[in-house]
Amino acid sequence: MNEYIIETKNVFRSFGGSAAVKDLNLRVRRGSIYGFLGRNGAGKTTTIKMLAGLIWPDSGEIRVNGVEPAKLTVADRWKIGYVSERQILPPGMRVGALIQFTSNFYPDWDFAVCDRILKRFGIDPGKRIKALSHGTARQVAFLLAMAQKPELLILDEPAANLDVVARRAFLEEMLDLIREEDKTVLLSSHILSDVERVADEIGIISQGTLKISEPLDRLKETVKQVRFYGFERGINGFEIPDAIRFSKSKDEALATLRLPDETLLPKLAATHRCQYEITHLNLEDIFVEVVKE
Amino acid sequence: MFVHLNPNSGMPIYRQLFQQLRQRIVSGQLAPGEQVPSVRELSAELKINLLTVAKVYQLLEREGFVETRRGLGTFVLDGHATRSLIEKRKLIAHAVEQVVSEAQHLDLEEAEVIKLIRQRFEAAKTKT
Amino acid sequence: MKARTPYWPLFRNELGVGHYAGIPWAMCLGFYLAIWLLASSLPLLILFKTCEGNLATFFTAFGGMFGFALVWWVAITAWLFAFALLPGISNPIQTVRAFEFMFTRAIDRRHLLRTRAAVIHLVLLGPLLLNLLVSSGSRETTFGPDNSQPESALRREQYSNAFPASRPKEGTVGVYPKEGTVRGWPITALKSLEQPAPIVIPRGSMALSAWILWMGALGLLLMQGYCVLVARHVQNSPWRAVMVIGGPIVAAALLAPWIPKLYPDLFEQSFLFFARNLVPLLIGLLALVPAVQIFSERRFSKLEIL
Repeated sequence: MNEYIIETKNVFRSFGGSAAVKDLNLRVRRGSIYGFLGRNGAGKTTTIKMLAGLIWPDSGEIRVNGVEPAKLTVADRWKIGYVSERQILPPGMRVGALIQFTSNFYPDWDFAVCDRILKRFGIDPGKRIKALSHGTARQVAFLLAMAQKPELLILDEPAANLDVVARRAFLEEMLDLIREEDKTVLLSSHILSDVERVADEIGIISQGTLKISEPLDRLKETVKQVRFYGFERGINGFEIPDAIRFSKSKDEALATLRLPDETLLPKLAATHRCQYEITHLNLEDIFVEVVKE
Repeated sequence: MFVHLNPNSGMPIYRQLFQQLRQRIVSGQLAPGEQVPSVRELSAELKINLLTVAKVYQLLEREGFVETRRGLGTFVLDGHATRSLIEKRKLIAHAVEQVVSEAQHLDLEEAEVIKLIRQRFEAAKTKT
Repeated sequence: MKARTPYWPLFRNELGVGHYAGIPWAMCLGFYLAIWLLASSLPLLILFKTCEGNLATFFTAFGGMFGFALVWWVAITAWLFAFALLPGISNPIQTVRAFEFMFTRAIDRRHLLRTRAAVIHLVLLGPLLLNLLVSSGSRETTFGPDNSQPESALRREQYSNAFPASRPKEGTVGVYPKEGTVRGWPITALKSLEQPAPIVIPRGSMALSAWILWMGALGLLLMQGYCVLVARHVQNSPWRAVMVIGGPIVAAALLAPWIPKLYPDLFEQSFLFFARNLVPLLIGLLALVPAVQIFSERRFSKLEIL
């Protein structure tokens, strides 16, 4: 089995002349929770739709579980669960009827999971979808994806309208799933604190390309914000070319940069005769620094 | 085990968990020979990613705090009393660095800082 | 486990079972089916009630009506297929078909289309098929044209050719009253003309129903092909969809009154052609079904949900 459950190679996709996704090389390791982050319009939803087989790339190659999404067979789709951003479930159906209907298409449908999630989120199976709130409808969509016991779960803003308690419950359900071997989750969410709780790898897409793709721990450990001050010989000539962000005022500089090891900063400080102060960044801070114009 | 983790801080979750577990082991709260929860159990209890817990246990094992015995579980190791001075120095180095850095910011003299440390030791001694 | 499509749940879903409250749904369905049954049985009713089974008067007087039937029919089928196949159009029936949801489940798109098309064909052609069955036990039909018209002899011959089993109606010679005038000509003058008796067309009404059914099926297949062909280009623009799908409807509405004026014999000739070439036309239609279906399924599978 391939190490990567999702692989894209040089994928391009544009809409009406403007490129939504440019030369995308995304790789999601089997068994991980991959947090896929990006601003609105950065190409996130386009990428996810391509992975789900709803739209096709203009060029490049995509493989989900070894298969091109355009050629996913029914048996391939058993293993892929999908919750979309604007999940439009059949509004006239009752929750119970929808579960019953969907279960027809999956051999490993787990009704126990359905009952558990219905109870946990307090959803009335007799209610019609259109009578549910947005958030509850999303929970139903999530339930449908979980009950099919997928190997890969693709979640695009699955918790967007949920309150804090419901979101925690949803994250726990997701973690329960992932505790079984070889299950992978691709989670795309604007709620970075949620992603930070559970993800082990992070991908940040900005303006159509993947700017960051690495383990979350490494990201948090190596990307720091550093304030340089006390330049004994003045600040002129002080530059950090490969910083993620860099700004200078007349006597201090602020940089968001990657620290591969502990020696970089002392060396910099020694070379430029200055002092430094490190601020640790959380995922939201790093994200903003990476994607800000 | 009441472990508090803040996923949204600048410190990665695994490092927070590592420090807290290490603290419990060093302080004796987790006694030598005691079994710690399995990776699965702990990740379910703390509601965090299983891989995170696995990483922490790996680190703890590497630094000699715990030992995994196949088929039996993970157990706290003995022998912290005889930990080498070098290792102990390494562990406290970070805290020292923070104190010194802070002192420099506040423009405090080295002598001042040492005085504060001495006072703290005195206070601790009178308590016990 | 091998992937076998559960057609029955898909079929029920396409009929809207479970999407609407029970009684309103049943009433709606019943009402719709009643309308269809009534509408589709109109030709037979007219043939027997008004024309007394005389195909001659049937075609002469009511050719124009077919135009409007055509418009109405095109309007219904075009939109049904549009709803079924075009992901971008939102409408009350669309919700039954929630494209993005269905496309991301483990459902073969081709089977989904197959079920949808089957439902539409069943609902629209079912009543026409019923007419065919009903007509098998109906009264005899005749062909007795107005013999004062010059082309009636030609038509009579065409009918005899189309229906080799036809025979002249026994017992009556001359259908006109012995006295008075017919169209201003005194009877005595007409009597000198040859007045052949009307011919009996065995199973004439069946032929008529079969012709209507055949045309309906052909039209449905063509409409299905058309909608599938344009789907990709109109799916994301409601106004474009309206124009492209509405095009045939408007065209039909404009043509309808003109057809009987320009080609007064069109329907009758088409009926006769059908009767003459029954077997090849049937085979042709049956061959068209898989062709259109395969084409539709392939295009449907390639639709993008933007």
